[in-house]
Amino acid sequence: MSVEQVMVSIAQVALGGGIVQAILALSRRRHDLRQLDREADSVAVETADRLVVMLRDELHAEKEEARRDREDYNRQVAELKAERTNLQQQVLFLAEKVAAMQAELAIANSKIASLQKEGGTA
Amino acid sequence: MRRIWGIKFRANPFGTCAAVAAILLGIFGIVLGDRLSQGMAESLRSSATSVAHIWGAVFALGGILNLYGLYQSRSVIEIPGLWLMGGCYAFYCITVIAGLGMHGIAAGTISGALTLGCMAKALMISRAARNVARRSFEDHP
Repeated sequence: MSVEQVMVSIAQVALGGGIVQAILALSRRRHDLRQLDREADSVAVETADRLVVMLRDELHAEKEEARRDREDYNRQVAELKAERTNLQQQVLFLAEKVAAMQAELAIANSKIASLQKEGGTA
Repeated sequence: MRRIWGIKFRANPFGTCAAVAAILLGIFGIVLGDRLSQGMAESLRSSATSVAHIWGAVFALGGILNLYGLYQSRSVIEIPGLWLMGGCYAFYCITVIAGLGMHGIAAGTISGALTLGCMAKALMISRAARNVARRSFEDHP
């Protein structure tokens, strides 16, 4: 038997061995392999579940933070508005005072003018 | 559906290509017989045609089973496919080296590596299945 014939025989054994192993896997190890597939599927589902829960928690946390930021912002806006109203009122009050003083100054100037006139004729 | 297949491909690109190669070679073997490989024709001589057709059929079947099992996540289907592919890659490896000598080293090396890969994967999955079965038996005797 030549080397080539031996190698061809080995090749045929390899091919036959593969077929036999395939049949054995189907006939004897089917139950174990199905159990492995079920466990792999359930692990995948569990992992997906955990991921969903984690993402949902993160989403709630982000929403809560956004709500708190919005409340802070609204409070700051209200404070600034109140301060602006207060300053506007002060400005009005001071404007009234300035108008009153200008009126008094005008009266005083006219009195001075009339007194000067009386002094000149006398 | 296409998206799922895309995800599966990204998870197993090499395994997918090895299985597709097996299917294509198997189809060529069925159609062309020993004309597919000079190495096979030289080494098998008179029985080359019939053996090549059988080899092609087994090869294509192995590739289809492996691909289906890989994409449907069914080891029950994938393992037989891996064994059939491994056997056929081994057959090709040995016959091409026997038939062509030094000129068949390159093709023989590639197919030999694929043989080892198929067998290693089949053995690893089988071991994992045995561990799961043992653990399950220990938890619920």
